[in-house]
Amino acid sequence: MADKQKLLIVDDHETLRELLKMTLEFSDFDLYEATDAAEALAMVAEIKPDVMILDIMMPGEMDGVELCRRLKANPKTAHIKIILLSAKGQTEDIRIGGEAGADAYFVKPFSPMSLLESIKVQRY
Amino acid sequence: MKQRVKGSFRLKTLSLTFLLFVTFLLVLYFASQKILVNSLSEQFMVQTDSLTELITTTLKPNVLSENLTAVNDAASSILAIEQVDYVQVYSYDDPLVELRSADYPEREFKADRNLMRARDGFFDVVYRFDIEGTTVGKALVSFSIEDERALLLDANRKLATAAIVMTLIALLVTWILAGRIARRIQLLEHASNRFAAGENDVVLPLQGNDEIASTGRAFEQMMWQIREKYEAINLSPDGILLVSSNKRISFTSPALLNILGTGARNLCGKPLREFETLLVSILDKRTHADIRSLDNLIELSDFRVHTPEFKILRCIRKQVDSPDGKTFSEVFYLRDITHESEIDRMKSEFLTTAAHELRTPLASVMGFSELLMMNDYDQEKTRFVAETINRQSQNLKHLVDDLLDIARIEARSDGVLKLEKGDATAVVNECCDLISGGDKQCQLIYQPDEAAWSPIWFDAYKLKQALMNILSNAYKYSQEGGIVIVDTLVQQDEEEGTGWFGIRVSDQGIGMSEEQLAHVGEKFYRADNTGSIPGTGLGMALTSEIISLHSGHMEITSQLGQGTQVTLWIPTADSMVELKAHG
Repeated sequence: MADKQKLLIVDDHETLRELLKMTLEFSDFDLYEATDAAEALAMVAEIKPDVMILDIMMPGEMDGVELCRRLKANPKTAHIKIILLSAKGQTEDIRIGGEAGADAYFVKPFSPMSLLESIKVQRY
Repeated sequence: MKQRVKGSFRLKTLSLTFLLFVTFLLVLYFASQKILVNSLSEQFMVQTDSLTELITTTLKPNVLSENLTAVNDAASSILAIEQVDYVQVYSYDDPLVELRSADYPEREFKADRNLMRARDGFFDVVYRFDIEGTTVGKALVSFSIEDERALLLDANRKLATAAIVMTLIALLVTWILAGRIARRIQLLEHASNRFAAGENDVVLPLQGNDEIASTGRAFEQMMWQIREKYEAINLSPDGILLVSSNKRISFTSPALLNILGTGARNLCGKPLREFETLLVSILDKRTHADIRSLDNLIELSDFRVHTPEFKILRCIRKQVDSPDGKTFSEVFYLRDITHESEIDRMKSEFLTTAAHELRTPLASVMGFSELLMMNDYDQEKTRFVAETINRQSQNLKHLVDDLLDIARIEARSDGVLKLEKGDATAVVNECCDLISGGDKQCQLIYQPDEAAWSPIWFDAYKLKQALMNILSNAYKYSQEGGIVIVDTLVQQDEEEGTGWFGIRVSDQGIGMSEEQLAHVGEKFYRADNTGSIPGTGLGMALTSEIISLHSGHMEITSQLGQGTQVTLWIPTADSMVELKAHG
């Protein structure tokens, strides 16, 4: 069996992080969390995750979309599967997410099971 | 009045007077002629009648008896009569005697019936001698009517002179009178023209009580009313531009300059095209790249410009037909609707943000409940999930409540506070009790000070809401067991003469940085966004709104890491502050 994959959760809401952790509890991932984009970048360098779930609205200079863009632009991190989470669900917002290179886009409130399915698909 | 009086009113009047006079005088002339001639003729006839007598007695019998000598004598005595200049006597058709005076010219005898027809100065009469219907002889007599004619001529001359003089006087008087009338009418015309051209201080120096003067006064009234409307237009914050029928800009209101910027400064008098050019030049190029003409702009209705400040304008055009319907002038109306649009935009932004804010707690509720449905968790985990769902639902509830409150306050439908006058002791007490019974345990110190009270006008329910907000914030941002102090203050503003009553809440919690302080009161701004401190971010905004409705203000001081003090200031009941909302 291959090494367990690493998943990094980036969201400033503790409750949401908790929800995501519980959702992914029984999946085959080592879970990590960060509370903003800056912290996330630091952790990416350190743990080299395979999948990331990013909340778009975060405090600080960078939001989820920008973080996604940067990671995808960097050849070292471009391989990371990125799932964007957002309260904004307009066509325009989804398009922007797509243009930033996200592999999936989920609108809050979301179904944890759907998210799980999407991650499994990403994995393979 | 030194103005040259032009125009045909005077001439028309003059010609009319002249014609009238000429007609009148002609009539007078013929009438006088007839009278004169009649009177002269009558005089004359008297004379000829007396001659008839003479002829009958002296001439006729002698003609009948063919007594030539007697006839001659008779004829001579007839000739001797002053005006008789010629006598010829016939017996039947045979001439018997012909006598003439010295200055009797060669002429043809013509029996005149009309004294005036006697052109050559002689009046010819035929006296017939009839016996039982047969003419047995006649006498031809020519009278000199020079005297009469002279009389007539003299009379005529006198008449003519009088007529001419009268006519001249009449014409002169007419000239003067018509001139005065025409001049006054011209004053009216000039004043109208000047007023129409835009002069504001047109004065009509018309005195008197006649129709012209009253027309003038009516005109002045009209000018006054137009000036009133003028002033109203000038006061309006909306820009108005008038274009006359020759497509030139005839008027720009002062507000136009404010709206369009300095480019609109010298538009008056210029062709309409320049206005069009100006508008197109300030258009926001990104949004309106394809707009080139005024027609397109007006169709757009609202358009974005940079003057260079960003504005949103609305332009409306109205056509005004000329009195004869053949041409028209135009009115352009420009309104700065930036503010309105901004408010609309802010409102929809607010709603959008509010909706988004709802999604996050909703995500927890939905997500966790789904997890519960799909998986079997142990009791502890289950409990944790249930508590989270519950807590987030509470969050949602608070959010919705806050939203409704703000909606109500914003719409001012609830803006009429139920104000009572009194002291707010009960409210402060109640809040302190309520807050003490909550989750977090802090040390609440409330020491009412008798001296620091003042009656105020307040809505108990709303004030409680506001104070609870402040108190719960104090608790939220304090550490467990931290100290929260509630007290009251009274202050007098010497300058304004107003008194203020304040309720102050001080905590020793995490405090706020300057940046956070700046944003307090913004809807949805939360100093702590990590989700560890519950709240919707609408609390301060609501409190601020409520205090504002009480004509008061909020005072906040804070030191990062040390604590925050919030004071709610409300005007005292006896101060002269005008309340915004009356119950």
